[in-house]
Amino acid sequence: MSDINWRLAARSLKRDLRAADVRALFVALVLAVAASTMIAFFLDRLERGLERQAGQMLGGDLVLEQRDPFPEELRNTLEQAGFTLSDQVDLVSMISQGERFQPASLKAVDDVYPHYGVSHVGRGNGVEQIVSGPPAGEAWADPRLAELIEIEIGDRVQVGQMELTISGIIEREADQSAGFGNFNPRLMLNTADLEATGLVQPGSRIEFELLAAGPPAALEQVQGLLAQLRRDGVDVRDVRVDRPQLGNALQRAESYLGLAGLAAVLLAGVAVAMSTRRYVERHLDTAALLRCFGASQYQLVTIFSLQLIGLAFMASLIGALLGLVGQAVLLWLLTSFLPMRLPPPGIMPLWLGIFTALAVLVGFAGPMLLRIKQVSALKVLRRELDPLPPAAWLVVGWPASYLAACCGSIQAASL
Amino acid sequence: MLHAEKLAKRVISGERTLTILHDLSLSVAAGESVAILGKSGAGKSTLLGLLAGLDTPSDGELTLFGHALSRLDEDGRAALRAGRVGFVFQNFQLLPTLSALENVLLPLELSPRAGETRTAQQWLERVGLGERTSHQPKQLSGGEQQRVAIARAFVTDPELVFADEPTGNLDPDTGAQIIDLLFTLNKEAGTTLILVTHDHALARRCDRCLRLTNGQLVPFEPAPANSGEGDE
Repeated sequence: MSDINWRLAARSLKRDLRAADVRALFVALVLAVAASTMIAFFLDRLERGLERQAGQMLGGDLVLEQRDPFPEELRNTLEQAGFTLSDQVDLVSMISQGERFQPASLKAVDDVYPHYGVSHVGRGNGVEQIVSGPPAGEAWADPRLAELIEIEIGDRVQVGQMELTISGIIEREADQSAGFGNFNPRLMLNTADLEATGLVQPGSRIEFELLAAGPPAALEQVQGLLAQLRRDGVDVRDVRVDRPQLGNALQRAESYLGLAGLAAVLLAGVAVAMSTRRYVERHLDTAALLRCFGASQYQLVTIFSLQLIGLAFMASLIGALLGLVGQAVLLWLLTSFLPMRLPPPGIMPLWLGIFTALAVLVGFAGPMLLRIKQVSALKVLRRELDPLPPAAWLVVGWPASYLAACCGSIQAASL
Repeated sequence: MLHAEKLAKRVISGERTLTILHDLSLSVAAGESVAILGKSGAGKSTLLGLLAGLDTPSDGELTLFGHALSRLDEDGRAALRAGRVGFVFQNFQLLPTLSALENVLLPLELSPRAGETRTAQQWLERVGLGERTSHQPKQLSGGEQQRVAIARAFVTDPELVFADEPTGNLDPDTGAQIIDLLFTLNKEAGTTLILVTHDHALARRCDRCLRLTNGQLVPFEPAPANSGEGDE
């Protein structure tokens, strides 16, 4: 594309910003982008927050559970896909302190535990937030177990053939996955001590869990493997699948906010259409003059398209910034209704902003811009020689198709 | 420079075909100034549009700068005009959101050359508007707007300038000043000038006068200055 066209488009845009119709067009685009990016930023943060919370509840983005230890080959495959792995063993066993015996739900965790969240553990002098499990030789008991067998911090309990020192009372576990043993009070220990307890025997009722944390792409990559594992009887929990209640709530929120955003974009689209109409009317004379001075039809289309694309990009940036501020306000207003802290905003909604501005421009302004292409140089002598207005089917049909496509995508997202 | 041979222009109005021009021939040499007079509705602007390649004839052949216009499409004719043809219009045709300087720059921007802003400024100075370069058309009088339009017509150093009723929207005194300016610049630049007008005073300044009547051009002697016949 010729430098002349770029330069002329840039100069024209700079000059045109003085005109009321271009300012109106600019404001309408900014509003469309601000509305859509505000909602997109908010939903993006909500979705990632919910996914993180679901991951925290599950103990990882992917949790595999079976009665036997997991083979090394599977571990390698998951690690190669981008996952960090953590081992966990659940079993029910009798524990004792002196004369007091109590069946307990034992949870043995490794040094990687937990993938997400923190444990709240009483240490005798207040509750600490700890991002690990108990070290080897120690165990944490939940308050119910401590009460039933009357143990305190520093006491020793018998677990199978080994004695462990109680170093903490669990107020809240980092992961809140519920297993069969949760009817019994919890005792958490380190996997390094498991063998010494002598509890892992053939025929023991033990569940081996492999907790994997990794990006969505890694999860996507191993979907085939997961299907095979399910067929082999492995219990597979996927952060995207195993959060039905959160998923439905999110989808409803997406639908409502999506509709609100669409309404805002549509209103802005009408404003874009109206201001584009004035813009085009004004520029028919410009186009005719440029034709007189030697501009080709292609050059005219290029200059005006570049000018509007430039306007759309400027509006995208300002609209996206406003959207960023707007979502922060929205978040502030809804803080008390949200069950968690949301992660910081991502980059994706910015692209959505640019796409929205261009889509609104093409959807609502496109048909009218065709008139500029059709203008005759003879209009400089005969002012009545305006190109015909765009066909009604084009003016109505084009934005209507755009609207239908938007509604369709929202409907598809809510299914 | 320009040669028209048996030009015809017909338009369809309802079920009728109107013949505006027929069998019209014209040759204009380089550096010549030609006035085309005629009554309202005689087809003067139609002829100007054809000669400038803005419109296409129904019949006949037109050669501009040695190129047969009938062999060129609209883009080809536009490319032929670029930088070589200037225009002065009755209603000035200045873009309202652009300053005087930006309006003069417009044709230069399509065929850029070094120092184009300085060139445009110099032309505004030549037409007496050196101090008003940043003014928008609405801040200028009719005469000043036509001065800007004249600067714009000459800024590319064209070989040929078409003027369509350049004094049509101006009072007689202002019109006289504009005529003086147009012919002074035309003489200095050695440009070929084809102008369409009702104004006999303006026509008298040209090397040759033609009258468009019944769709054809005939030689014409405009009324002398003191005859009382000033306009068509």
